Amino acid sequence: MANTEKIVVQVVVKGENDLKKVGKTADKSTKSFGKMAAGVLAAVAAFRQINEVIGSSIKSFRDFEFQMAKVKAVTGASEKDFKKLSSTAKELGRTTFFTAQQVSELQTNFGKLGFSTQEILDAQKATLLLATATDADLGRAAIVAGASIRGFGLDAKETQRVVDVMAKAFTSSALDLEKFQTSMTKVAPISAAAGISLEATTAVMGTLTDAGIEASIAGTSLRNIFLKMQDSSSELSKFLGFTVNSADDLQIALNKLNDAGLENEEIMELVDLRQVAAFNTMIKGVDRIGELRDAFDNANGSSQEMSDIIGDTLEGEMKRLTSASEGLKIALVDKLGGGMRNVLKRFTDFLNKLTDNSDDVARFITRTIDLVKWIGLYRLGVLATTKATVAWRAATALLNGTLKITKGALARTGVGLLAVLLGELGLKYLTASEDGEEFNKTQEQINKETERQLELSEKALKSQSSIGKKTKKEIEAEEQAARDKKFAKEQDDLKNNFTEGMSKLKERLKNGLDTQEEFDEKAFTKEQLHLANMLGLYKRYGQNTANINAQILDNELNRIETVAEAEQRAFREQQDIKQNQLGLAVETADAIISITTQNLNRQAERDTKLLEERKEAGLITQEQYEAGVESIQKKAFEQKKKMALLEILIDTAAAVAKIKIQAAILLANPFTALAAPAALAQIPFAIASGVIQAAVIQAQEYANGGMIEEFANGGLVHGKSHAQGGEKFAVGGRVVELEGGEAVINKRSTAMFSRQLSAMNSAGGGVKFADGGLLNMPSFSQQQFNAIGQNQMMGAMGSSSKVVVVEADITDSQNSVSVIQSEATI
Amino acid sequence: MIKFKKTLKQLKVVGQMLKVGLQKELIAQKHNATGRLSRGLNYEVKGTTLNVMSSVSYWKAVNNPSFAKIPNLNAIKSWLNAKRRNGTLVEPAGGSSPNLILKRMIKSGYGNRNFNGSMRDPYEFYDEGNKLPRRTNFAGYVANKFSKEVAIKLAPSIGADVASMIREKIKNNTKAKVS
Repeated sequence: MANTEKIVVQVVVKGENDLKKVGKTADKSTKSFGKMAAGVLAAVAAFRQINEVIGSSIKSFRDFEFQMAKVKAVTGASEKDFKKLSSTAKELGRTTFFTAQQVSELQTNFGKLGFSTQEILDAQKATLLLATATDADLGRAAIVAGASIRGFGLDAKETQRVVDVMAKAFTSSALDLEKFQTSMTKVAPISAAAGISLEATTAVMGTLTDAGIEASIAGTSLRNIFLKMQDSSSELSKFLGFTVNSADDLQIALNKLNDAGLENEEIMELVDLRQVAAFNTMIKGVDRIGELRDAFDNANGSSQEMSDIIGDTLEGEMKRLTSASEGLKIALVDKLGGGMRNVLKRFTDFLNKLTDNSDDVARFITRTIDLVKWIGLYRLGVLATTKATVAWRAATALLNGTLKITKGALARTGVGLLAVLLGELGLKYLTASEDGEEFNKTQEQINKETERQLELSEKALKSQSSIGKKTKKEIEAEEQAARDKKFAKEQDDLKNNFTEGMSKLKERLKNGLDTQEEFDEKAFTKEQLHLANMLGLYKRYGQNTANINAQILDNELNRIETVAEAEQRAFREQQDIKQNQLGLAVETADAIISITTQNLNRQAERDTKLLEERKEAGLITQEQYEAGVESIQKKAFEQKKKMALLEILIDTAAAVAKIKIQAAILLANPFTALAAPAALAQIPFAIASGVIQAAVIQAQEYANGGMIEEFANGGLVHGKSHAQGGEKFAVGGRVVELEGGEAVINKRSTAMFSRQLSAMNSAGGGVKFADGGLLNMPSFSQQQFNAIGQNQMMGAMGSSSKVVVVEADITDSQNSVSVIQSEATI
Repeated sequence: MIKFKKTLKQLKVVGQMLKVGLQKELIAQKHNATGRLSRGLNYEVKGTTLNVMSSVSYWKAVNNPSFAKIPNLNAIKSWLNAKRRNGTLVEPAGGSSPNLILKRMIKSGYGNRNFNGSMRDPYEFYDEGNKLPRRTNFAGYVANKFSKEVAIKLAPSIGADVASMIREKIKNNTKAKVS
């Protein structure tokens, strides 16, 4: 916060509370507007949400539909079978990790592998379990499972067995779906031909993979080894002594080979060089193969078990939720059918129509803003109170009216309708019956209602374009128009009369028939009369009179100001004249006194000279001469004393008169009026000062040595020093003390050499004239004291330097009297 | 929340106008001896308030002479003692009295109280030949002189700010709901 001591002028934008009120008013309008907008926006948001759900549902359904179409194409299923496939896809999609679309992809893949509908139906559930258990892609799982079934010549019903083995293999060996697929595609047909079961083959494959043999090499090697085992002419069959034709044969063969303890060289003779590693691993891992085979034989339910474990997690639940949601979407769209397309189309049309109305909405908003701006201008500006109040009242009324109009109009423009309808439509959709037909009927009804509301909205818009008039009947509108016309005519007449009258006045001024003052007076009267007429006219026709009132007020204020200024000017001129006259009178009196004093001096000189001549002629003695001179000087002293008293009287009278004039000037000025009594209060001081001076002079006795000398032309002072009492002199009605040896410079010389004199005076320990050395220095007074600092003042008071002549040394009373004698002589 | 963006900008313009007005008035009243008071004028806008300030504290005494303060008796005593100590005090025959000095200062026109403690009336000093229409209340005169002009300058910007406020409210309302 700023230091308030330093604030010279402060401007505060008042009316913050008013602004808040305006803000609240605006809030109300914006609230009501906001409510509508909120409703609209909520509805739009709901619509968007609905649209999004619809879009998403349609997309899900569309994708599913397309995928199912492919299934149908690939499997060549009959309508009945296709329905089975479709329903199981939806069912599996809704209840498992996988969506209906993914299930349909599975079905497609099985279809491509030549699975019949039934086979697909038999295999798909187990494949789903496999994909779930191995976290594999469902389509690929289907291919692998299908390929294995086909490769081993199994029935689709045995898919569960296959996937169980696979699931077990994937968890108990290094095999995974990819490795299984890579190796099994190579070995499966050979194994099947050799009568080696899926379990036994998978066990060997798992052992090879555990040993780090790459799946492709393992598959190829195993295929060749199996082929050699079945070929009776091969070295391997010869060494075994039999051909392998079943899983049991394989086990026996491997045990025999293991028991034989073959070296690599011997093995190379039995199989090709490229199969040595795999063959060696098989022989040495015979126990492991046996274990795996046993495990795979008992693998029934493994996939389900694994699937359950994996499914019992948050991720599993989320996947099921997603699937369920997808399933719902597909089901909804499936049931709602084509009605949705119609709804969307209607919505689009409806929004387009509302967009057409946006201009009207924008226009009302703009109008409200302009109005508030206008209120802000007049209410918050610090204009004349009357103007502001009138304008505020009018503006408030207008605002209230317009807000009502705006509100109604906004409702009619369709914004409110949008809010209502969108909300309703959203609700209708969300609570729509699963029965598509029923929903379509409801939708049709809504669409019809929308159409009807839009028609109403259009009608309202047409009527709103001329709002204000439309609320009245046709006849009233015509009457109003007639009144307006009449008002305009009367207004024109008044204006013309006024213009004509003013032209005449100007003409008179131009021709010198009227003075400027007369013209101003008449012009003012005419204008005020004209405004009064206009005011009456406005009131009669119920028009807003704020501007007329304001203009009248302005004119009055200007006139008061002008008159006051003129009066003050005239008064000042009069006071100036009085002051000049007073100055002239004082100067004249001074001149007369001066001349009289000079005459008295000359008379005394003449008388003294005469006495001197008579003494020289021997007519009188020296004693008589001295007595005569003393008598002459005493007489002159008394006469000069009278003249001094007269001068004091005149000066005092002049001082009092001057104070009165100044007080009158102060009083005339509103800024200084308060100072007038203080000025008048100085009169007693002036009188007192005069009385004191008179008393001092009156008290002077010739016998006391109070010689009155005149230094009109300057000269040296002779007599006592200050320490001895000094030499007293009358100065313009006052008594001052000089001392012997001090010089008095005459006025003209002082004016000519004031700087040099000042320097000379200060060089000898005196003060500079600028600091108060001059007798007629009026500025060394109150005003000067105010300008210099307090410390300076105190310093001046305590200074050891002696001022030649300072008013303060003469009398304290002088400080209370503003007038200082300026033309004093000693 | 109302933002007086344009008003605050306009307040600065008004501040400059008042500052120049005060400086001119000081010159017109012959209060421009050193120019320190005139140069020390400045303005600031805080909130919706414009303060035209003086860097010197004696502006109040210039504005109203009766505001000038006088020292108390203790201060005068201290001053006298200091002067005595450094030998710069030339005392009159009867010696110096703090009471007399104070009395003399008050009689000389200092302070806003009479010697008996009563309030002194404000006054204005006129020299012979001084034609100045006023010598006091330069701040009040300028404030009064410019009041209408200040209002005319500020009113449109206040109105514009109010309009912005309304516009902002509508805008914010819409945005809040959309997001």
